[in-house]
Amino acid sequence: MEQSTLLRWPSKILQRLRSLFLRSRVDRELDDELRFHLEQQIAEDTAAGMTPEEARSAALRKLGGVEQLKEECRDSRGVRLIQDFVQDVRYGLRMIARAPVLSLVIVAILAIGIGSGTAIYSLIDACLLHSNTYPVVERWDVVHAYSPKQKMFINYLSVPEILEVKSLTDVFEAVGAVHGDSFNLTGGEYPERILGTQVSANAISMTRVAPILGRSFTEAEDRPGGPPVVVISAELWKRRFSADPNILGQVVRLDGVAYTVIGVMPVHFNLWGGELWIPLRLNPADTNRSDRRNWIVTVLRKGVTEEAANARLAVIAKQLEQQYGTAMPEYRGWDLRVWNINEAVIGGVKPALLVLAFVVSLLLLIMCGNVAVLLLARGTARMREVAVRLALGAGPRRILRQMLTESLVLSVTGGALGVCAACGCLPVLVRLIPEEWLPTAPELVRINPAVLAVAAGIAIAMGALFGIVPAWQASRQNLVASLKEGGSKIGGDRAGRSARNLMAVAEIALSLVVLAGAALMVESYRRLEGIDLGFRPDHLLRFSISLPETKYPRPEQIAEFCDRALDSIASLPGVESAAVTSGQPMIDRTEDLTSWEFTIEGRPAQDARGDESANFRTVSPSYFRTMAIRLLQGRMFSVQDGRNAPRTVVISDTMARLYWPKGDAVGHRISLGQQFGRRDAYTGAATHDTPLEIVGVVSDVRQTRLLEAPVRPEFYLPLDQQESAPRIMAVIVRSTSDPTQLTPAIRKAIASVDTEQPIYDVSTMDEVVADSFGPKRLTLFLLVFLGSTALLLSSAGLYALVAYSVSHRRHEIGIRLAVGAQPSHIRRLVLLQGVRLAALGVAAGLGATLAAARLMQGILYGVSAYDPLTLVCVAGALIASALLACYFPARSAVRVDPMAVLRSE
Amino acid sequence: MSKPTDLVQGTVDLLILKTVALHPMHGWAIAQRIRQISENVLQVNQGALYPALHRLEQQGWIRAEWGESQNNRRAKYYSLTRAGRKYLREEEANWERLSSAIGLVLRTT
Repeated sequence: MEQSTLLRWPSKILQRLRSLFLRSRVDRELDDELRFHLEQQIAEDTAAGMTPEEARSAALRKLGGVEQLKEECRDSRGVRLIQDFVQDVRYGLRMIARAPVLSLVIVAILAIGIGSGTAIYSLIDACLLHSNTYPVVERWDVVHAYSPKQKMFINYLSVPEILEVKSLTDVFEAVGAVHGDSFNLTGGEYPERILGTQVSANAISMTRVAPILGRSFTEAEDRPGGPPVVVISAELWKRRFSADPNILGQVVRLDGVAYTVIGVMPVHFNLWGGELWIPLRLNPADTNRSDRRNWIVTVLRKGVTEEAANARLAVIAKQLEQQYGTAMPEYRGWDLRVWNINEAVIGGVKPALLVLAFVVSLLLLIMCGNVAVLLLARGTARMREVAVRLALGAGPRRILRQMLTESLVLSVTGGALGVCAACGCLPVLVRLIPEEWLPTAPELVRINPAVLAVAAGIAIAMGALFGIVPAWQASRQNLVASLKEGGSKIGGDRAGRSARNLMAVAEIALSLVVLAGAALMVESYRRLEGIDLGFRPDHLLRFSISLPETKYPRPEQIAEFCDRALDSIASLPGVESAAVTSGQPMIDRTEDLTSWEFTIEGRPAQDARGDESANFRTVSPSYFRTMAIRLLQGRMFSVQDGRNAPRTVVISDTMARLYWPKGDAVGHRISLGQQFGRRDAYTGAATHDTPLEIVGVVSDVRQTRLLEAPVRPEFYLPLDQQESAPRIMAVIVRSTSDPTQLTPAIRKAIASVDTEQPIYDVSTMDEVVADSFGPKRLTLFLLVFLGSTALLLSSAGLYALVAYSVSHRRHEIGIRLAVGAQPSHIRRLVLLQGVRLAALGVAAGLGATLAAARLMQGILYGVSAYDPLTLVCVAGALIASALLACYFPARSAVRVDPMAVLRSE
Repeated sequence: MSKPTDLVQGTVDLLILKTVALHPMHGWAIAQRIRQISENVLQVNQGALYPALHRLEQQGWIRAEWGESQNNRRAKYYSLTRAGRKYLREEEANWERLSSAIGLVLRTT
């Protein structure tokens, strides 16, 4: 049996195709066949003695209705479904063309909704879901420690700690270590500063991305004293080596040391940023637990959850506390945790993306509601037509299918246009985001197949949803009543009306949520813009400089280089002053990573608060003047705070208030303990016992790019007095005119001190500040955009609803006017209908906004998510737009001519 | 003459298949032949014949070709396919089993 089924398939398919595409020919053949039959029958009957006329009618009688027979034959060929579908689509297109405005509005609403949905989803997909980069990203984790004493996460860990994490082989598939670094690349036309990463041998293979040329590192190369080898990025290979195919084996000089190129990674390979990778060469014999300078990166084993990994790490942390807790206080209460790479990389953008995703889904809901209202109204208006068709014998299922097809035609058209719109606006959207905030390359954010599938799914789901309700309603109607009443009054049927009203109320409620979010964001941004940065960002130029250890091994040499460089910059025309600092403001994203423990002289080493710690900066004396940081008490640094002078420190306002609430900080002394964070800049920092005297208190400075983050206590140390000076410094120059004009002169001034010393990352402080506002501005822009779209959509929905109801109450309005109702009364009637819906919607929306406030609060600054003034304004705006939306239908209601209406009865 | 017995649908299919198994035949001839062979007992309702033919063709049991009739007219000839032949054998066996079972029941009671 199976075999014969298989055998029949080709001929079956052929038959169907023939029936489908050669329809007219098949029909003609059917005619011929039946005619032949009739002729045979007639011939036989005439031969038996009938007259030709008798024979003809007898033959026809015998055969039954010819047309019906043909229909049955066609049916038995089983192509009805497809032919009906084609017919439905054609009919649907005709119906759309007959009500072009309504159809256009529906398609436009769908296109806007699906377009914005697709664009934002693509962005979220590329950033949050990260589907474009590492294949195993959901299992890529960083292991870091939380120190309750420091109240911060410690991301950099020491060699023994790395080995302890590595011992959990049943939890982690691979454990590697990385260390972000930068190098002076020499040997080409000009010295260049390049970001690179020191990685353990397995870190590159952990990404599951293979080099496009050569290989990655071997274990033998990742040992102390291993050969100097380097893997470079495709970008560097193209830019610096013009994509030389013989690059492997060539030598590049990094900080004066020769490295052999052994591999080239593909474009967009982004392991810890940077353009090249060299072996980390950890010494497994290193037992110094406090020398923490590497991030731990891991790949979880398949099936191991982050919770399970955390549980195992907690055991290690506990052992560390027991073993070393007394000697190394930072181990007390230590908590090792995994941290997914996505979260580690995205950090600040995530809450904004989540809010956006939420808002987009609200917008989609509003769009659905809108289209549903319009389609419901349309369906009701067509009751009579449907009634006629039902009376003529169309089956309810056939009607259902046809209405479904029609709304699918609409939604698919809208969806296709929406995807086109998304393709158009996604690049614009991406360009609005500062590049360093995108966790992935801008050109990787694009409409991908998954996004397309989601958009198509939305379109089809909405088409099906909106198709079924009116169709179901239509097929259930009382035929006789509909036909008798002429269809004009059926629009008032209770079920349909309350469904439409419910949709409209829901729409307005959702718009209020979106609008309130946008308004809160605007208010929040306004307050953020007015924030006191603690310094004056205008007329400031900043750039980075990195002094290689090979050339400047001693801190005095670094101090001397800085003195000479600053002198030569300060003497340039147009320069007011210049300074160096170990870290410019706003260099870190969410948290300033520097931290130094200290104790206050005269107080117990550990009072109730535990050991104290604060952020810190090492600066040249001119720093406060150059940045225009305000002095609140005491004095700033000066030349008198030299190498042999008594050691001094300047503290921030927050630190002064926290530890000396009486305002008597100046004159007290503190001693420094252990130092954490950003170790790349503080190689070999040593602690010393000499206490530091507080000589001044300065205003707080916003140190992170997350401007709304709480300000931590902070202190400043004079560069000249440090036993180990930072190698990577930011130079800050205050100018009297446009600071960007100064760059060439500054390059020359630096070269006059050291010709081989590059400067890099040149930008104005205004740009740095603007970048910090970047993600906020993006969220703000998108929210305002989505908010106005929502307002537009809900107003359009309300307008359509009221206008529709007016057009269906023409008769009633005409009679009211004829029996003497005042036009003002009619106008009030219509307006009241809309305003009542709007008021209900606003009330529901306020409730929903308060419920969603927790989500919103995360991205707000200085304004509560429950801010009454904002909410009242938004509610007022919505009511006003509702009034406007109802005004036009109200006007047309008043213009109804009673005579015309009554005559048409 | 008593009224010819109405044929249930499955039976029409079987009769058509059996009839065209001899040689290709057009619709009218199929109806005639069934009537002749059953000695006017079985009369295929002409209204049911053509939909049945088209359905059988669609299912791949028979195939249709245009040819010349005896009086030189264009006619659509149906013939059995290989799958149809196999299907006919199975259906014949089924029919035999069914009719002998019914006969058995009728004789016993």
